[in-house]
Amino acid sequence: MSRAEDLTGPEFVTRLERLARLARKVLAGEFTGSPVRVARRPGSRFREHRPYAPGDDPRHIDWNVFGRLGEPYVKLFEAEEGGFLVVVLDVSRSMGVGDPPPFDGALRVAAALGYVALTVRGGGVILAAGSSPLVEFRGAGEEHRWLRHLSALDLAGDGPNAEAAARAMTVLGRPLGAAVLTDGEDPADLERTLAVLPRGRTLCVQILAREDLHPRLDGEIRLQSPEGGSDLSLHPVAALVDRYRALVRQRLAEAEGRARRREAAFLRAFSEEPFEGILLGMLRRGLPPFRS
Amino acid sequence: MIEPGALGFEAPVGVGFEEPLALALPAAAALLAALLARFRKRRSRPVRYLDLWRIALEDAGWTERGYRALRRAGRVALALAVLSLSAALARPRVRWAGGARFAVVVDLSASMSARDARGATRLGSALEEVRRWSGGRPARDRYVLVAAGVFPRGLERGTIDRTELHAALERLDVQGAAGRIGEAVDRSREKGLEPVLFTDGAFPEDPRLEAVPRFVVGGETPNAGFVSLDVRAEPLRDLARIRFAVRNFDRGESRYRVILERAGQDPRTIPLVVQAGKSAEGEVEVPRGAGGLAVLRLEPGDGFAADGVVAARIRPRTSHPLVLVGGAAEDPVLRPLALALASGMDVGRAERPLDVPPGSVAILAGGEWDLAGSSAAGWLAFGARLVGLSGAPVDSPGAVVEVDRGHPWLADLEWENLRVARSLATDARAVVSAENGPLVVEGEIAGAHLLATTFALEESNFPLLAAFPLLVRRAAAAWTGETVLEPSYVRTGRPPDGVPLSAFAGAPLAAPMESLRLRLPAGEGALPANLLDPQESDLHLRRPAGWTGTPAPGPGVEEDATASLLLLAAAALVARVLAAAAAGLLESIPRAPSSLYNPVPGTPPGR
Repeated sequence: MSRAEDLTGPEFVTRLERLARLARKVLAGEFTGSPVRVARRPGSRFREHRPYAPGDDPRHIDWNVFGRLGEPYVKLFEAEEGGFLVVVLDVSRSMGVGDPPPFDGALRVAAALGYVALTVRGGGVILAAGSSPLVEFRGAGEEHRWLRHLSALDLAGDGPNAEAAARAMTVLGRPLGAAVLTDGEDPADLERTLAVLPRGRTLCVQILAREDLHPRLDGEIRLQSPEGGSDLSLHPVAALVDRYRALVRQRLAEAEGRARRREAAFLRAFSEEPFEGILLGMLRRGLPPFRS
Repeated sequence: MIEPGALGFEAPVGVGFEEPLALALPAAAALLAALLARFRKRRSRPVRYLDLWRIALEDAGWTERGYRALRRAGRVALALAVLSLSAALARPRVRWAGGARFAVVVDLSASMSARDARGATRLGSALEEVRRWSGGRPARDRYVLVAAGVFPRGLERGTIDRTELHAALERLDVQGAAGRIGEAVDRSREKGLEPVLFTDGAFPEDPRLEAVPRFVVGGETPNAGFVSLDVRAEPLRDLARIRFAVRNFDRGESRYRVILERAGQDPRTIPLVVQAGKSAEGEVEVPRGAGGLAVLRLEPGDGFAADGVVAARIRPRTSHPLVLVGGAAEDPVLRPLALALASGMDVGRAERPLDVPPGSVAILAGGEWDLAGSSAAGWLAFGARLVGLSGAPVDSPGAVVEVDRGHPWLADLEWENLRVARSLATDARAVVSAENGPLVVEGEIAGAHLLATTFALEESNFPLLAAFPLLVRRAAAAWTGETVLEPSYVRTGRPPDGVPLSAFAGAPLAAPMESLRLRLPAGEGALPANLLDPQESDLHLRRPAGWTGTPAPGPGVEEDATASLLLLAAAALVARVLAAAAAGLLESIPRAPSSLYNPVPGTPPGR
């Protein structure tokens, strides 16, 4: 299954909807008296129409326009209440290392965060993927474009980009919060990015492949850096792997330490772990970005 | 340089296979291994933390290298096992070089004990060459070690290999007389062996030896030996002075070392430089101490003990060789005599005859004595009455009328002026007699020598005569043996008269020699007996040093190598299994964590 089919397919969307319903219940205390209304009409101020695309919620189709033009259009609303969620996505090549690659896990978590922000919170999402131009998604009805945009992303070779994150913070009037999705290969890069994001309202999710901690190597093998450069030939004997894993644990602890120094909430997961658990755990514990 | 075969490995000169089709097995195995290698090509894999892998490899690289070595060793062992097994299945017949059967004839004649300037004997040099030569021979050669002495030995035993040969060489020693090499060679050929001779060439021309490959020990061996030996005591210093002379019969000037060896003492070396055809004298002093044998060895010599080795028995010094007994110590005549003798002898005193130390000469003056039980070497009695020696008094015995001139102590002594007032006529043997009875008698009493005057010293003018101190001195010297220490024996290469050559093995002669004088007699033919005789020397017969002739290479040995190869294959498989097991221990990687999700902030990453 391709990544587009994965993120925009009915199965994944169904999981997102189910997650959104649970999120609504978890966040019910915060949105007292309005969750149902918000669900039906996330943003009260109409912004524009755009052609219907597969995956869009049929409830957002403007049937009056369809009656006049014979083509389905969906209505878009301004995000008034929810604010904006800044999603900083690591698109470095190292995110593609692993089976499944952490990039896939990061996309699913990003999709879920954006989906909740757009549909449950009724806010907007702005995506900073590496050094690529910022992309904005505003209010309900944008969730399917959000998913399609994510499914079209590819690894561009850039990690968490502090400049893009800073730019996103300046163009937003009232940010909801921020989420950084990365493998944390370079803890210093991660800290630079977290430094420009709002303290106390940022979530850092480090996603790793299982083989990062448990290299399933057999016999002589040549290891390569995904960024290129010289390679390394070795036999993965026990003492060597033990030492490597100790070093990896130090590296992970360093990334977490730097995140906490920037007052960011920190989560770590393997790439194949279900995104629902990560999101619900975050919500139940009241972690940013939906609650600070 | 390492000789071929010294490491125990030799290449075969030919290999044949009875089942050559089995050799296809390694080819098939190689093809299979190539196919497997194609599927298991070294893979490349991107990793997130390549920098951490580098650090880990620096920290635990020794384990990785050990693992790599084990894997490589395992592959080599497996390949070796396949190759060995396939070769074994092909039933190989391996042909090795060698197979010769040699009789190693080592000359053990007396000349082989000759030493070169470094002190190594010819036999040692010959045995060293045997080891070197056999070490370079094919391992499958067989040997019989023939000790070519008086009676060639070793042919009765079976052949031995190179290792046993080297061990047997350690037991060889020079036998002394001429070796019967021709007989050893003949008997070797009769046994079907090829003789190889190791000698110094000191044997007469023998047609039986013409075609025998041989090694002749080289090196300069001067033709020289001792021609004189004299040993004397130094009474005041408790030393024995050994003087010797060495004659050089070579054509040029030569340097020698005379080595003094004595039990319990470090050897001493006296260098000598001797002109051609001349003799040189040397001298060495040795403490007498407890006595013992002093051996002088000439290096380099020609190997014959008669020429190169002489020995002298040093007697231990006797304590108190001259003892004044009883009143003799206070005698106004004997006391000055004792003081005069004290310059050359140690004079002691004793109250009774039983107190005289063993081996001493005791002096009596007057009185009556029983000498039974005393251990003195001899007695000098002046006017003493002795139990067992009876006689009647004689007044005015008269002038001396008879002297035993053949007696060694009385020679050249003047007795004509001796006047005696009174004497005692005894029945002992008189050596000096007067008109009315004996004046000096000789005999044996209580097992000891006795020389006695029948008159008291104070009743004669004997103390005023020159014969008095001379007689005392001669008697003491003869009985104590203090003044001359004779060379006791000399080893010789020549048998005593009447002993056939074939039965003489150079054993030491028991008969003591006479004291030798340093001065050489005139004429070459008048050399002292048992010392160097130029006619003994056979060095002019020596052949050129080094190898002459080449031992045969041998017919070769063909062996079935199947069993060895199967054993090798089994060993290689075991090695393969062990290497794989060891590598398996090294590569046992711990299990991975089940989840990294850390719901509680601050908890360390999971394993």
